[in-house]
Amino acid sequence: MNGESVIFGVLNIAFVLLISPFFMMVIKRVKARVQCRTGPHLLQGYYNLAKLFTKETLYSEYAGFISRIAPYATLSILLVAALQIPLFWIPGEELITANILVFLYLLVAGRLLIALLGLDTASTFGGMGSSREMSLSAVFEPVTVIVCAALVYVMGSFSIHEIFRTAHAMFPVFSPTVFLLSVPLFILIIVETGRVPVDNPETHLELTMVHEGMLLDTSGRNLALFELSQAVKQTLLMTILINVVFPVGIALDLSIPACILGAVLFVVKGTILCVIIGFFESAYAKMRLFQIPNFFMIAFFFSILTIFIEVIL
Amino acid sequence: MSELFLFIVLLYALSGAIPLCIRKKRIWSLSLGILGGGGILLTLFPLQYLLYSHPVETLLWFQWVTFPIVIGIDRLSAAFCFLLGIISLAAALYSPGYLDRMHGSRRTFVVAGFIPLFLLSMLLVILSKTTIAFLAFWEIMAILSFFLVLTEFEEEKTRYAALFYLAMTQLSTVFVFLGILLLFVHTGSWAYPVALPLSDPYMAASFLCLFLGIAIKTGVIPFHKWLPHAHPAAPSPVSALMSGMMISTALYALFRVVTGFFVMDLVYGFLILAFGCLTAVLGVMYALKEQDIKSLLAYSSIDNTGIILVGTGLWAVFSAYGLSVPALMALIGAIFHTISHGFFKGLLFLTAGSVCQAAHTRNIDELGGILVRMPLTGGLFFIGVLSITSIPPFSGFVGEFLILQSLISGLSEPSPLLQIIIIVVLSLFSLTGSLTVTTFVKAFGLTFLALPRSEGATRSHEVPWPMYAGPGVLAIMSAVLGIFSNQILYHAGYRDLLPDFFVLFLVLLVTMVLVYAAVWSFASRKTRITRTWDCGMMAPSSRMEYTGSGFTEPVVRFFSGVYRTRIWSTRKFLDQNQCLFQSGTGGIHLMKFFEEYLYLPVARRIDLFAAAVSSLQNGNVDRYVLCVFCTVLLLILILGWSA
Repeated sequence: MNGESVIFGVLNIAFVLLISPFFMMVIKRVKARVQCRTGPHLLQGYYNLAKLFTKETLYSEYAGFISRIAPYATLSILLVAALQIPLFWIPGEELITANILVFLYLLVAGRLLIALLGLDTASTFGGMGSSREMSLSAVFEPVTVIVCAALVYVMGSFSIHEIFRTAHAMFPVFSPTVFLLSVPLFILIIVETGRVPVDNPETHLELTMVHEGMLLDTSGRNLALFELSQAVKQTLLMTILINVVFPVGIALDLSIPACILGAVLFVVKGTILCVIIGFFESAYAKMRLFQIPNFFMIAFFFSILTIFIEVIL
Repeated sequence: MSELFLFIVLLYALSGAIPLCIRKKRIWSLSLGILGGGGILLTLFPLQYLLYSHPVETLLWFQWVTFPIVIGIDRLSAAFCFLLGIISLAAALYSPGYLDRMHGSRRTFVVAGFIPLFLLSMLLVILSKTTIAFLAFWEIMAILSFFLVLTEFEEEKTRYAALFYLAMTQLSTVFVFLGILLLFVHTGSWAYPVALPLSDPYMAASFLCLFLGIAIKTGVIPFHKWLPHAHPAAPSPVSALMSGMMISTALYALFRVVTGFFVMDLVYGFLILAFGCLTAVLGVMYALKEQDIKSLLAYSSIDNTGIILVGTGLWAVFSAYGLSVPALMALIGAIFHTISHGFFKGLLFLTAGSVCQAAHTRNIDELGGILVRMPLTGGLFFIGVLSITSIPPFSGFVGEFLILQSLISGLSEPSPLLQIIIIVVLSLFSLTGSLTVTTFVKAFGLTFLALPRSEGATRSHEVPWPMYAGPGVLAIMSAVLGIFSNQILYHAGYRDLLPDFFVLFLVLLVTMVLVYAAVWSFASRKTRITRTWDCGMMAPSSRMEYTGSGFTEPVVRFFSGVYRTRIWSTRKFLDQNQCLFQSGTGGIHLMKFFEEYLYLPVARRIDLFAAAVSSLQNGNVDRYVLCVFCTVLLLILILGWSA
């Protein structure tokens, strides 16, 4: 642990917190435009959070300590995960281990807490959301691990920092495996953040909701923390895709112009990816719950294909 | 060191003998106190062997008839001694409270006496350094655990479970005995053999026998059926010992056999790997569906055995391919997971036992709302859940992480066969991990959270302090072992296998404090306790909550091919056109595949054979004489022919 990595930690966390609500609103706005609506203002995400933080928080009378700690723990876990994923600048030394498997299991920890939170209030909606979330994640988790295995195999390192550095070094010469990897990584974003073919983040209809069902009984600052962690999670997963497939402009040493350039480019690339996600969401209808595993299988297939093609090359 | 060891053995034996000989009220608080002292000594005693590399040190040596009994300690034994010490301490703290609340006066003395003796037999299994000593203590361990399972003998189910367990455990001993005999015939000595080649068919047979014997004891599928019967039937401290320690002891034997006795071939590596995958995936799938919380934990032990077998199998396979780093990673991962599984499974069984005793039911669908009523027990169970679902930096994560890392590193070997097998194993292994998370969200969420679903659960209240101090020791161990895993392995000489989880833990803690402080100082602090959102109608009751079967229904649908549930219904109608419904019944039948297709057919064959044999033995002296005469005639004919 040295000075540089601490600066990296602070900068990375601050940047991810700052930019995440913006990306959420870009997707919302694209979806609204496709449906011929105006959509929210691009800064609406920040207003919403500010509003929620000033509101009163309600706890169910049945709830125990899980409801009290889960909001804080979930955001903290994701912020620690943010230390593993450099957004615009890769430091020389890792502050905490940047092992991709640790990153995956941190995501699992967040999911476990939210699923328990859904059960904590004795609400049927919470139980339903929790049951569905855990069932889907039970099927999707192996796919995630295989995607990561493919990523590690292609890039030759477990460390996310190293993976990004290798991708940056390889960049202008496109390897076909990197292209193939972009498909499962994209599906990873869609599934992990609960977007349309899998779950609909904008619905509160009991027939379809998964993620929202678990959060139905949270309010005030707790809800704000959950919305923020959801946004952070989405940004982190987007970062993996962006920095593996299109790592141009990422800063490799600590200099102010390089960092500013890296950050600006990251925002541009992130916005473009958000627009793509928005269009993707608009183009599909929500799938039936029991057909979602078929969607996961696409990611599974592409990851295995990546490994085999890498073997042949 | 051998004086200290003898003193520990004496303490264990004393604490076993006192309640068996002295029938005074609450004598077990004294005797188990002695056991606790022995446990602490036993925890400290193997530390130097664990942390520094030592040659095998003989602690005790004597000749029994013609058999040499040697007790010694090396690093592998020391690791399991440490586990046994901590578990003894936890059991010693927990059991008096549990025994006080148990009904039936005489059996409590027997349980109090047999627990230390059972622990002692396992200690001697771990420290045995000759095959014959190993066999003797292995059998003592089996017999003692059989009597402990039989504690609640008035119940039909318990008797069935105990008998089932006895049959399986004796079968295990038979195979271990055969394996050891083959070894003796081949090497001519009872000492532990070193690196025998498996190309020799006798040695291969010996290995298979030993593996089968150990597999039955550890609950490898398809020899697993006794676990989910025996564990719920036994008192909770006993199930904690059987699951936390006896399975670990059997796995110790596996490590000893695989890494010491034989030089593993690729084929046998794949065999262990295949059994491991089958056991892990099916174990967790059955656990998921289980409604009895102790059966759920028993199935989860099966799944963890599978994970450990995968690690061991990978070690053999990678060694055969000459990949030394992934091989070492897999083996260390397997051993580490065995130790940490002992801790967190002991913890889960003990806390679940408190809950079952307080709520008078083991059925998850009748529990609920326990966390508010028993906050400390619930908190400890939660730590166990975090550990078993392998949340970093808890100890359950370390073993799975090492095995996963070894699997992915193994992909770099340019052998198509190996790569395809790795991808299959990787998918199944991570499926096991994710289903474990689902299983324990169900186990914790439906047992401890929300509203109680029965009268017993409503009236449950917190247990006396020693009953959470015992699990507390195990909870601390499962956290500490994970947080300092890198330092421990580094000190033991295995460097660069793991990232530093201590830093991760610190950063996690600091971040959580900072997030809390930021929200506390900048956000509104207004808080109100209110009713769960009720759609503007009536307050949700426990009848409206999700149940265990409801919670797992989507998974059961996804994997309907594995579960093969049969949903049936009968309907009666009042009229001929089947319009007016009168009454009906319905049910969900879960097919017990192994019981119906493997165990029962074998049992029926044995019954048939026994019936055929018993028709010979009908008490009629004439018939016996005829039999003897026929035999003699046959012998004369055969011997004459061969001469």
